[in-house]
Amino acid sequence: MTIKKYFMAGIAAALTLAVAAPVQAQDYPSRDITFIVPFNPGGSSDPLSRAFAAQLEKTLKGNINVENRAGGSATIGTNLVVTAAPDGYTIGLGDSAALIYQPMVNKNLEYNSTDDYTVITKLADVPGMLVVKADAKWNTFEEFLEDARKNPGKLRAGVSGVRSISDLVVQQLNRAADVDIATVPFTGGGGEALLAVMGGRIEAAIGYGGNTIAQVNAGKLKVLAVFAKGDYPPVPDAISVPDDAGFAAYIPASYTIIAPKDLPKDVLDKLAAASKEAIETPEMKEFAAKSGFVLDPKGPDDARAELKDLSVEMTGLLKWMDEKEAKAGK
Amino acid sequence: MTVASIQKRRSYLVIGGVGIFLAAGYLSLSLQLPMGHLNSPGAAIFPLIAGSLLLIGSISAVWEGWRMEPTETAELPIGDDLWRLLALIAALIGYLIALSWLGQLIASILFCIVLMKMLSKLSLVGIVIRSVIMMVPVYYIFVHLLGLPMPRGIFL
Amino acid sequence: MTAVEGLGFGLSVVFTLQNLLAALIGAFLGTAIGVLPGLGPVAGVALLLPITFSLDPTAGLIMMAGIYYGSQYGSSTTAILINMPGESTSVMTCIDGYKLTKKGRAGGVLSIVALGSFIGGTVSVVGVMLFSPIMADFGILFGPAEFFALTAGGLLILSRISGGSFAAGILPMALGLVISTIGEEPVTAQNRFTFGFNNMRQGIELVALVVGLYGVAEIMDMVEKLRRQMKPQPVSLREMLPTREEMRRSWAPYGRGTIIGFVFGMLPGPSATLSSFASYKLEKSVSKYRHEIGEGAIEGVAGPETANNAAATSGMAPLLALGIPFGATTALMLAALMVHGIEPGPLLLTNHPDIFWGVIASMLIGNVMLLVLNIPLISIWVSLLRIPYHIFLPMILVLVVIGSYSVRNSMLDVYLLLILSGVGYILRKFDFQLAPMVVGFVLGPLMEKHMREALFMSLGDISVFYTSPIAVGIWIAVLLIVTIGLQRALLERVFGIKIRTPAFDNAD
Repeated sequence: MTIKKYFMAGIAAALTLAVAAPVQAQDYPSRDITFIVPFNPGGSSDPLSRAFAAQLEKTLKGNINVENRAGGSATIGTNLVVTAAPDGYTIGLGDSAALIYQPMVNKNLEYNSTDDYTVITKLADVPGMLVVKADAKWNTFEEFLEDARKNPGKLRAGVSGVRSISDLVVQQLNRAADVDIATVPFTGGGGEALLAVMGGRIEAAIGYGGNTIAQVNAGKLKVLAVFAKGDYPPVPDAISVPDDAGFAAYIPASYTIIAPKDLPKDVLDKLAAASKEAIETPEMKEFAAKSGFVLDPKGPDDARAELKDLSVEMTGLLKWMDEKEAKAGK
Repeated sequence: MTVASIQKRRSYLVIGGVGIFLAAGYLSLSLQLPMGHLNSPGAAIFPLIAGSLLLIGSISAVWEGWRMEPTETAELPIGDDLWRLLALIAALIGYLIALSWLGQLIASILFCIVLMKMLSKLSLVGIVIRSVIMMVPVYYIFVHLLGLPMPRGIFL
Repeated sequence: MTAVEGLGFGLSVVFTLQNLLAALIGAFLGTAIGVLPGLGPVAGVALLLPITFSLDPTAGLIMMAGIYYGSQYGSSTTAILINMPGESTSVMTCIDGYKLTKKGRAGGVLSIVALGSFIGGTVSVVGVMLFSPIMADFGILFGPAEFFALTAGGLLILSRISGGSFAAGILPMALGLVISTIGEEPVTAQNRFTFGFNNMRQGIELVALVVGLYGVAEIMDMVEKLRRQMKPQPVSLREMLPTREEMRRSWAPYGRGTIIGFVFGMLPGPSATLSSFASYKLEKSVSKYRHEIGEGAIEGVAGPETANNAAATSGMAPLLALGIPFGATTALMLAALMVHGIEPGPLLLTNHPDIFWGVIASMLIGNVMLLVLNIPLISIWVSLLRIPYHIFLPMILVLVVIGSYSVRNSMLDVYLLLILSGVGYILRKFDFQLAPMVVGFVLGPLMEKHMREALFMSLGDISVFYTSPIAVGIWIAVLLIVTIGLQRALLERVFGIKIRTPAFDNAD
């Protein structure tokens, strides 16, 4: 054989080995795991991912590299996870809007439904809060809603983008309570909408997490209601829109951990168990309490079912919004 | 240095012409985006403004080129200078293609060898040694120390 | 917090090992970038941007600010020693600086310049310190309509006074706006001009744009011309002492240069460059030694070099106080803040006082460091000029590629880098302005956002743009500045009055 043939044979052998070598769960993880965050460092999703990855390193006994691949409403990073090799060495943060809403409006994605990737675990929710200026005339959610009823289209709520999660939750309220609260998109981050509320330029805003809670505690804003079932520990006194007011407006910003589809069963089991353990560590709990996240360690099947429910709700909501816009001649 | 002087007005006419062409294409694409309404302005509004400005800028470049004195000149490279420039561009393109296949380390050493060969009269051995001495630390610092996920190529 | 308390707080922020190191490294790299031909402050900051991502935001910004004003120091060195300005800000310095070098005064002139830069920078920092909290308080009153007026107006002014013809400013500005619209727009998440490529949704990366336009395009130019490298004369420490005469004649230009630089720095435009032109012209008309300027007078060096450092520093005020960059470098700093998830704007002072005051205090420290770095180490900087092209160019190009890749870990950005270098090369060749393109690219999304926000918020009432007194005031000011040429022509023709506006005539 010539040298060239040796070379080709070597490559062929290496390829065969690479393909044939089965992923063995007992020695997983045997090398570094890449954790893709579909957001920029900064914002609230990146610290959440890094806090989780740090705990997962301990419970999985492996090394995890966090990589930021932002852009395209988080679809660019999600695409990368979905198309990676299903060996458990590429996992990522799944953002509910990128996983569910984006495929509805964008056909150029590598995934269409929850069947196109593996859901390892649910990580956390961040419920939206309806906030108004601290000295605003409304003291309760009922008063605000009453005003919205009397002045359709006149009350304005700051959201983070048209048809973003925060817009959708207002639309859920509009639909369920039969009101017309206008939404104003502030795309430079949540602080801008809060600034506009504090400056009296708009009436209300949908706020999330630590930044909003800090302004509430500083006495600049007050929370009229939380768009989540059950209690939201950071603002224990605020009423829950679905539970107390009885309107089905509850979509939270929610995060899951995802991997490519066809992940070997034993690897998935190991990852799911380690993830659950990681989410339940005291460090993670402390981080969540500080940043306004509600941890929610649902297993693979429950987490997938929740995403499917969200998909159904969003489909109905978007249809309602489209019809309303068509009717209004918008 | 070898240069050819061309009338600057001609370059303004060409750049303006290309600009008008670009602006027209851009504006027609913008028109396909949702316009929205006055109370919910859509994605098309701003591109239409930007495209119109590009059109105005391009037309004014043509206008200025038209009225410019033919004595105003700009210099374009010819001969060796042009070839050196084209070789640089080719080397850069080669580097970028090699980057995905061969990875940062090998691609950058090859690129460095080609460029040095172009710019100096050193012997090939000297060039290779210098390239390796320069590029290995760069690779080490950025990929290993700073942890940048540069393409590793198919061999590493 | 008063300015003094703020400064105290800022100093407490800066005096950590990490931040001091960031200031030192920034000042050091900035000087090197200023000395090396082919890498301006803009490309330099762009290139080092990814490295600052791994630091915390305060340290990152401190380092970038260090690079920015360090490069102002460095660029004067080449101007004086080999008659080649490292940046456009030192064009004026060449005239008298090189003549003085030929008279054997290189060392003394370098010291005079270093001291002038120090004075200009330091006084300007104090100005920024006193002025930007007021500016930020004022900025809280700003809503979308006012910010729209400020961004759109600032961009218009920039593209009109950057120099060159109408088309030379407007065409690149519009091109920058057009490029900024590529990708997913944030308000409705609509994909624009992505041609079905999902990766295009993330849009064009600023670093690729800037490094391509400024850095690689300049290197193409260098390779094409293969300029003979000038070998500078070695300068010994002993020669560095300026004469008493030189010192005495420099104080007045220092003072005038500082004021001019500080004022220009807060206006939109290539303010450091413009201010050095303005200072030179001013020295030429008011200095006691005006007849010597142009023939190697110390005033012609001391004034402009003081002014450009003062301007580089005061340019930080609109960025820190309002979140609006009026130059390409400050635009990059804005981008760095946003990557760290920090919202620039009037709230920066309240939400992130550590960044606000830390950066201001670091500029004071940085200026001291630069003075220390420059006078004794001058021979090191000079030796940088002796690195041959065949070592220097491949190294820079490889770093440039790594830099643009690493911002978003994307090969797409590297390909774009190459395309944009071509665009930059062509535009420069025919005297089109690049700064409006970069600033247009950065301000474009802000303009769009504020414009659409204003309409959403007013529920579709277009009068929102012209009912606010602040917005109207801004528009009137913009109109006055943009039509300055027209006004001058009118005055001359109708009243026969001739007005001189030295700065605007032949800026780079």
